[in-house]
Amino acid sequence: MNIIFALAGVVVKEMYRRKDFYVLFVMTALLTLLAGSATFFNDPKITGYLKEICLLLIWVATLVIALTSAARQIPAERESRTIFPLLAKPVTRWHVIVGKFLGCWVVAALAVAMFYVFFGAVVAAREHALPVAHYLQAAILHWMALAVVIALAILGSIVFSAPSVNVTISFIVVGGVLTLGEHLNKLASRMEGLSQTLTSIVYFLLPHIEWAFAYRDLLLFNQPLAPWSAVLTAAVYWAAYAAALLIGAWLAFRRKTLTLG
Amino acid sequence: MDAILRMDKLRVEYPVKQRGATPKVALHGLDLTVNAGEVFGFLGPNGAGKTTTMNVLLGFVQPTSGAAYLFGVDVRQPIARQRIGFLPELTYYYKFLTAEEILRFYAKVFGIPSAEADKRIDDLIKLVELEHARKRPLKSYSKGMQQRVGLAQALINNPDLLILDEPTSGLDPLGRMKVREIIQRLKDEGKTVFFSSHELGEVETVCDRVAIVNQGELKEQGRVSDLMKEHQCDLEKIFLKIVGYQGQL
Amino acid sequence: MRRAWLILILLTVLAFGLAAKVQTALARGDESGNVFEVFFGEGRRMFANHFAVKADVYLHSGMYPSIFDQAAQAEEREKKEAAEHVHGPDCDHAPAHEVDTSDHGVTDSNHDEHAHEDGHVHVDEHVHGPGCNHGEETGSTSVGGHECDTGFMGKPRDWFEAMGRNFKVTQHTHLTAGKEREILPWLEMAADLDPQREETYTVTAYWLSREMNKPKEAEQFLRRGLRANPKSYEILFELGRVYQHHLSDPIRARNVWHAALRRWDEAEKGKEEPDRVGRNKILGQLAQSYADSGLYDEAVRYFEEAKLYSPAPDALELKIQDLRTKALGTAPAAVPAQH
Repeated sequence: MNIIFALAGVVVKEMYRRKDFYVLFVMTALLTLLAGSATFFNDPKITGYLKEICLLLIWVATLVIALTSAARQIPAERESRTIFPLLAKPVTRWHVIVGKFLGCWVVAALAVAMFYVFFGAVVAAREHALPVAHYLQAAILHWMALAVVIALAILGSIVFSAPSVNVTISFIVVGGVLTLGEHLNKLASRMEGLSQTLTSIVYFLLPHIEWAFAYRDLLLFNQPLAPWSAVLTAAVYWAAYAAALLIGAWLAFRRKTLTLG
Repeated sequence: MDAILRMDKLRVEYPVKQRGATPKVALHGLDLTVNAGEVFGFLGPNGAGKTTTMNVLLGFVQPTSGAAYLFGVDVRQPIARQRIGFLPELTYYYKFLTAEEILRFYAKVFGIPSAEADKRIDDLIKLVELEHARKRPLKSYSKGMQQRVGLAQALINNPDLLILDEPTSGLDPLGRMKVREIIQRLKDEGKTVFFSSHELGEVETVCDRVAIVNQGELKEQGRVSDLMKEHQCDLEKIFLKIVGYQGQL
Repeated sequence: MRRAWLILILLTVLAFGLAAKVQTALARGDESGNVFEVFFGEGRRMFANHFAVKADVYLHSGMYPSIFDQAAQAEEREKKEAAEHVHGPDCDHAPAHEVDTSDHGVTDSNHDEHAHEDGHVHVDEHVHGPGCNHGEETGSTSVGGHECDTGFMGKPRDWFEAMGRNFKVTQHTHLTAGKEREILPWLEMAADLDPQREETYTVTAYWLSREMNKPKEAEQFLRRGLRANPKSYEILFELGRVYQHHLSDPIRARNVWHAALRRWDEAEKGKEEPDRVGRNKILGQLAQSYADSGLYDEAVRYFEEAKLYSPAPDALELKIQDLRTKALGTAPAAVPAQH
């Protein structure tokens, strides 16, 4: 575990020394505050639009952080050849995969925590309410869903040679799951034959991270908490999914030839 | 003497992408032994199979047949690399970390306890004379300074075997001298050093034994002094003869 | 360094290109030449519609059918209709429209086809579940606790769908107690993006004046709509309602409705199928305003005209009789200036 934690530590250090994270946070805060400064029909109590914009920005920002950081980890190691002194130590490729994943996931946790604290502060200033349990559920679901996204990007970084291709494809897949994932079964039920079978297979195979994305509505419309058992089930489901993707990444990485010179 | 490093009929073939083409043989059944406390020079022209041998020893490439052992453990097992230090030819380290952080990272990889790691980091930074720059990120270092960080990381686990790939390549004369001094010091401490180099003068001065490979085959091996006596010439001429140099010697 | 120069050149070209486009568009002096039109072109209408839908989603606290739900629902309804409802030659549906003389808007029994004409955000795609009866809500200022069944959702098809529902809004509730204000930003954005979308102004004014007690803001918004749509009788009609019912200015309301009738004539008279419902609404409100002011003869005159457009002329006839009786019992009052 020492090796995995050491590798994760390097990823975290890299992230806080790069400017991406801060730029995204400042941009999200700035856009939210800018949106908050608008008044509609002289009514200062309107909050919904602000919550919606802020949550959407949080999702975009955290997806960008998760995907771009995860997608470049292993290609950067190979490109800068830092992988060689690393693998010359008692470090396996599985350690590299898991360490990189853990580092990105910790970064995602920091980002999610920071963004939700900001969101909570903005909402508290406007609505004078602080539904901590709701924010906790939202943050947990968000973070667990990002585990799948990060694992997917790590797998992509081994399958695709160019990080830009990986980021683009991962963005399309994640965007597709978030917006269409939950509807594929309805779509399949209106199809026939092979297309129905294929759509159904895709529906059942997809990681349904859109649940975390949908949770925004519970925050937006001040709905009751989701059952904690459901939150736990979703977390376990996504953890299993992320683990499967990481095993896939390891199997692919194991077959990659890495040679000095 | 104890064999620290052993290669038994090590053969490596690289697949060729063209259909039906025969695979490229990089090593033809290499047999080699390096004993404890030796400084061993691994010589050969470009494409002779030196890097492939390094790749096998470090676990990057799997042998097609035969085997290689470090401390009696098959190199395919990560634990075989627990007692070795490796310095690559070029500086491949995280540029956003400081020298101290890089050493701490590798210390963690080896599971060295924190207090002990602190002491080793201080000693190594002193050894490679980087005290003044220990808190600066590597991206601000010169090539020579980065190579010295490389040497320090290779020694972080106090290895019994040090594998150096062209350790003086690209260094200025002062840097080369420093590396030579460090190798000598390790030898005095009873460590084993296995290194590849093109600098035959350097090899002659620091190595106990050498091996010369060409086209994936071991052409010559033995004590430097014995080889020179046998061939009645210096190491450079022996090398050129072995690799088939046709010019005037 | 070379790449940086290339990017700089590209950005410069982009900036000049954009400046030229913006300048040309603004120099045209289109009445609606706002910045969104310049940048998005016709695509802005799509965004405007999206924001209008968003407002409706908010009104329903996030429980809203997706396009996939709507498609599935439409298919199901078609199947059901084909199986159960066979129209015969004598098939007589409920009266389509009655004359609206209240501030409650049109009571539209054909609700499913024209959802939310009662001031809800009108979105054609919105199809309510079978248990949802908005006809009863019309005019009520609060529908607290109103719940439909989970309507369009139905039973979950699989485990994933059932799990997903834990994290979604599954109760059909409407925003109440002033929280309806949350729909306003989306409506304003829809108006910004598509100033020619008349409905945005009328719906927004409805909520502002009736649910949020902001008639002044409603008036201003409708006036903004009129500047973008000077020929709109719908906006004039709504403006008249604001004056009549919320600003207690019936004279101004009637002036506006008269203007609305003129705009209706200009826009609809020559058409094969004019908007009879629109004229009926204006006439009904105008006549009722006269009646409320004790100007029975004028009221009767406009109710008489309304009979030509109303699907229930008999009901109007009763009203006219009643007004005539009242007129007999009172001295004629001076009719204030109309224009």
